[in-house]
Amino acid sequence: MRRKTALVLLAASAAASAQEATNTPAATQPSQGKWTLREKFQYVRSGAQPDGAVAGTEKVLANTIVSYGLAREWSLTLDWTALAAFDDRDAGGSDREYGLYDPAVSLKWRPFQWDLGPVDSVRLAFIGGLELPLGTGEFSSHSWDPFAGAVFTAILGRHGFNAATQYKFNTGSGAAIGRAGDTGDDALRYDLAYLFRLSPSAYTADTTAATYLTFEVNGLYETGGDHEVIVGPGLLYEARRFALEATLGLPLIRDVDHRQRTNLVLTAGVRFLF
Amino acid sequence: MHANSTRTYLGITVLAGAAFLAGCATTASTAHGNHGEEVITTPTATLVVHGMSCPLCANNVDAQLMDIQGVRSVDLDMGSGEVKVSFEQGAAVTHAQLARAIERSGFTLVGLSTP
Repeated sequence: MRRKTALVLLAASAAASAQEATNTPAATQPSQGKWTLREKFQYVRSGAQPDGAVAGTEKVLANTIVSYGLAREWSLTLDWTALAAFDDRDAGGSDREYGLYDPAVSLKWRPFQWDLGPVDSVRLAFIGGLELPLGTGEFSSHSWDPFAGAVFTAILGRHGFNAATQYKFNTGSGAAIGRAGDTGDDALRYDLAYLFRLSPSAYTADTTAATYLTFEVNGLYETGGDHEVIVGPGLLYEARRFALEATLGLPLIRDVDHRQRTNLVLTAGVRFLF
Repeated sequence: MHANSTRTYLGITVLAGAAFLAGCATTASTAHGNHGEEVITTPTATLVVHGMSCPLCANNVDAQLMDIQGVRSVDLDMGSGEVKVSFEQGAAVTHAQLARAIERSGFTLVGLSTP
């Protein structure tokens, strides 16, 4: 089974909601009875496979996240990713494959919320979910993989901070599909994001949109020993009913022996609130 | 002795943290508890809402209030947290309906007044 890498540092359970950096979950969610739709497009460039059969891989991913507000503190999220992978063979030539990663369904519960002022808020949420073996061919792990985690969000004036962690139990036999965090070992994700509101400097009655500069640290440790951390800046534009986002991700730590190392992650996305 | 002190300190910290979380969670979830079912007879009402940290978040407030039958428009000032709600003529919107809408939106209602 070939090993390919796509470091998709989007937590499978991330709810598509506001004040959330591109690849780091936030303790925010759609309000009761409302939907959010989030579409993220990623370009991921990876290095050689450990066995040397492939010199490098480029992937284009389309990640769709739909969230529904069940109650004030509860939301339900469905998350799935379609991808196209292009391998450069050392022996010459290239391969091209298309497929779907395993989708995930999750619940987010926000038991703690402290709204300090008109803008300021501190929140804590817990996430639990299941990755379903519904992906295509070798892009599926063929196992039911539960995951659980916590998300902390603090928004103080123009500054926003998110910290999230999530542990996934990979219950399968270890059939690698090239998806980081889904290679048969359990996976611990840890994400940090800082958001600075570039404009407006202060909200007024006329405010209908805001622009943020973001910086993220997205880590993934697998119990097999692989550890990778991607860092990078981004921009987020939020209007009243939609948001646009773009980020650049570069490797900071690449202690990876069992799969391809990530060289570059580019992400662009859009979010809608219904 | 040193280990016991450390354990005691950790225990106190955990208990204090739990009490803090419980207190804050209660504050947020009971924000609409003081608003009754009396019908608002004025053409507008002003709410003060906390926690609307971004435009997309704030739209949840808009959406929940506009779902109330009889609400004509919602004007929102994210800077002050003031949300001005205008009613259709003859509408029978209650204080409790407005409070419930803010509750459902996921934010904290700290004030509700009519002119």
